[in-house]
Amino acid sequence: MPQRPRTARSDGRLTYAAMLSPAIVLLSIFVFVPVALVLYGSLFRFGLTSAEWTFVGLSNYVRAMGDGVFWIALRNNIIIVVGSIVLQVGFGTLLAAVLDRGITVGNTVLRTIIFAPMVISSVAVGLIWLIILDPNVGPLVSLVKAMGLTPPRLGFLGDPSISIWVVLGIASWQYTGFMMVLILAGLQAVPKELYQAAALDGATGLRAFWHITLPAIRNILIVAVLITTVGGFKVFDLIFVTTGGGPANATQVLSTWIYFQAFNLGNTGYADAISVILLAIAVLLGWAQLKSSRRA
Amino acid sequence: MSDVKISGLRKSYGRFEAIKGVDLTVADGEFVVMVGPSGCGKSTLLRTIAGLEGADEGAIAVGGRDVTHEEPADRGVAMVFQNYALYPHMNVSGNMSFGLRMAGMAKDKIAAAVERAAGILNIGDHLDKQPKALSGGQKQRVAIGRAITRQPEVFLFDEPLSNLDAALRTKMRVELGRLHADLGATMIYVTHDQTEAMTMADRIVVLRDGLVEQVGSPRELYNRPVGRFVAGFLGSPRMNVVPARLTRREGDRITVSIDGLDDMTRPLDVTKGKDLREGDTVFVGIRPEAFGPPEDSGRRFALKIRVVENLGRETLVYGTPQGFVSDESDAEDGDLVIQFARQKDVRPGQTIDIGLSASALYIFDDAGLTRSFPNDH
Amino acid sequence: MNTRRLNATTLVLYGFVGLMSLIVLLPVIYMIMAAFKTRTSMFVSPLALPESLSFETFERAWGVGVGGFMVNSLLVTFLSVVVIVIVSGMAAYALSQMRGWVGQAIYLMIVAGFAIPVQAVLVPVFQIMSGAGLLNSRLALVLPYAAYGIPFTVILFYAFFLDFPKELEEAARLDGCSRFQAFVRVILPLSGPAIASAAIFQSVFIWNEFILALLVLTRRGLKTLPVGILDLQGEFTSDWPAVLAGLTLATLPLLILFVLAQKYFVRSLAGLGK
Repeated sequence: MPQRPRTARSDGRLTYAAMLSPAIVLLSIFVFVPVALVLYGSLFRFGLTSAEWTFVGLSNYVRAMGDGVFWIALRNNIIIVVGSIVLQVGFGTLLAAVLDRGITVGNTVLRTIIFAPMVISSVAVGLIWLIILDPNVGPLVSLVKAMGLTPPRLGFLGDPSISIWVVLGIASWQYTGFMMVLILAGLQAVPKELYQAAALDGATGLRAFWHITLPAIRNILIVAVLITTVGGFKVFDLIFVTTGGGPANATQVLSTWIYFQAFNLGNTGYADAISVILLAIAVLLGWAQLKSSRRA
Repeated sequence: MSDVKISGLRKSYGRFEAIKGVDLTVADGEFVVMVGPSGCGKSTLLRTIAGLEGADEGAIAVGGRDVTHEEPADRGVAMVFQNYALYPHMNVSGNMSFGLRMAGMAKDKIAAAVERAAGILNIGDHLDKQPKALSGGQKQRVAIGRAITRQPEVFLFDEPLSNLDAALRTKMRVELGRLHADLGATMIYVTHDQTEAMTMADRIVVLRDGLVEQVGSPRELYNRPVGRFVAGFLGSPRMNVVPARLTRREGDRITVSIDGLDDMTRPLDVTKGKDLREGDTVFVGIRPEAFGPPEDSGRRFALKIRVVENLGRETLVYGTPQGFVSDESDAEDGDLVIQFARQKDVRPGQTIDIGLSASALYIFDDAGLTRSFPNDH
Repeated sequence: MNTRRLNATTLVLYGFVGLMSLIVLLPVIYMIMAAFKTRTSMFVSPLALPESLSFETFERAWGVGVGGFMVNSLLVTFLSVVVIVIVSGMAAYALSQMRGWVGQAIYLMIVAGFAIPVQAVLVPVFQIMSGAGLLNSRLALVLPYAAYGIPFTVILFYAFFLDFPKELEEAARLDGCSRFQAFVRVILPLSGPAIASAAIFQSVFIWNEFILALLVLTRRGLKTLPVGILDLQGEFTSDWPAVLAGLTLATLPLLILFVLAQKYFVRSLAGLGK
């Protein structure tokens, strides 16, 4: 045997520290330090490029409480979250159930089609729908007219009373397939013997779905709901591209409002305060996710 | 010389003390088997010898060289794992040669070493196969081959046969014995299977709660266990242990009494330990094969048969003795296990007479130490 | 009787899934089809098929620099994914080997990073980038993309490494590997599935990332696809066919790649639920 003299045998601490350090450095610079800066900056009034920082205490937060658009933004986030859960997780579950046990031919093709929008960037998705929904050249308006109905006068995205719901529809167009695939993976992990046993006990079809399938994929549904919720609070690209938060701030969400305040109006401290609120929501949801996955 | 000397070894995980001070010497060329129930520290001890765990205290020397602080690869040991641990992305010869390649050995020398090991284990035909194409027995053979290729001073085995089926296990047991004879290498082997320990070992080390309970040849340990723990661990079915009372003590002779049986007087072989007095509770150990025919055994009792296992060349009878219950045996509910070295035509529900000779008893004190051995041991 | 009811049910189920597929397909088909139309026919008859198969709109869109955007996206995505896989792989392996509270604490910290959305730290990230003079550089995207890809990838690798029998690493160390060598020579070669999963997931995410790219890149020559195609809109005011042609150029390659490798996409994204 070759003999290499070595000093005291390490328990690997140095190696492991070296292997961990790049990840920790990157995370610190781009995640943890920014979190600290956002907390700090939310207590000041300052411009993006100005060196002049004025301590204002909690007044940025007070300002948010009195800012009507902040509340609209928060409400819109909640609309998107709840609506996405109903549409994306709901339809995703139904589609997954059908693909799993309902039909046997063409599953892969159908799954591929429905899942495909996931790989298109939200910007492209937004632009495509912007044209489809355009009041002048959009095919949807013509289609609605051809059916003898009256489309909204200002266009689907131009009408403040429905625009956020239209955005929700576009988001669901993009992500329902993703939910379907996620839930389908859970369904396919349910042992087939379970269905055979249930059939012997007299549970088939819908009853089997209710009593066997849903409980078996409970955990994956929780994950799906949480992913959708987090996604609903992070939504930015789609709204920035389709409506820019308009008309008249009707489709503003927290992230677009932060962007607008910081980079258009120069209210950087105020943007930081809204960021902290968004951060708090995200961390709370992350904690819920951790707890639910621990239990799983 | 490739002996292994362990002195004052201690190892803890947080508050849990896995090894509480072990001294052990394994002679050059010896086959030592470490046994004990799970959690006794046998695997930790082996892994500490290998260098996969660091020692908190104490020292390990291989071939007279202190290796306590050496890297695993520099200790002159090779290890065979229970789950084989073959590298799935290398073929058989790649697996066997990896250690030598890491050491930077010349290619022709590596090829020769692999060929030699493959020849010893009869796996020459499989050298180009991927591990997943091999059966369990073949995988374990490759794992052993990997160890042989490195020509270590000491072979370490961590329950290498536990993943194999019973028939294969018996075959590999014999083969490992042959391998040890051929190579003449020092081998340390960990198992929880007392049969493997009894059949393969030059010496057995029984571990219990991180301490060495007893070291000796298989027969020494079987015949003269230091206490109930070793007595119960070796031998299958395990020893029956029946509570009894010490009714008389005259110097180095003691008389014990079991309900329903005549008193039995035995020599006090071990005087070390607590001083036995009249009225003390003691335990009587009887090996399943130590019962005899009622005619010439001196004492007899009735046994109501509950289960009969016909094994062909022997018969195991599980039943309830009349008048007393057992404290420990392979049967349940205070029953006894009796082994007849022949076929026996009995049925559950039947009651038969069993003989018991006082000269076949072990007597343990209530601390579990053996105080009296059977006559012929 | 029973079979007929079964057939009716099957028909309804196919109808449902088929309708959903159609809803997904139609906008994509429209995008490709309308890209061939003229501006006039877009206004006059929005629903009609194009009159001719002219690639003139595509040439116009390409002229804006879709090709350059694509190269930029490829570069940024490739570099980021390489950094993510290497950095996360090392970290996850170290964590999977570390016993005790230190490893646990670091793991929890990294998981906590998963909960923090870049949208909530836009201002400081921009400040850091601009302070470091990194605005309008590829590094300003690669580094934060890597950072935000690490938590998920570490979680994925960590679970994967924990499933490895630890004896493999131990056998390697008995064979003379250091811990790091055991990682490189034994663990990494066996991590193909996990690496592919992570790479696909992060590629999709980074290829489509918008908000950071929007903040950091203002010079056209550096823009990635999502930011670049937004320029189409400004460039061709009301030249919708050209915009759609640009969108087709930007999305079709990835869609085709997805259809070809859909099995792996599905597997890697479905792994999220575990």
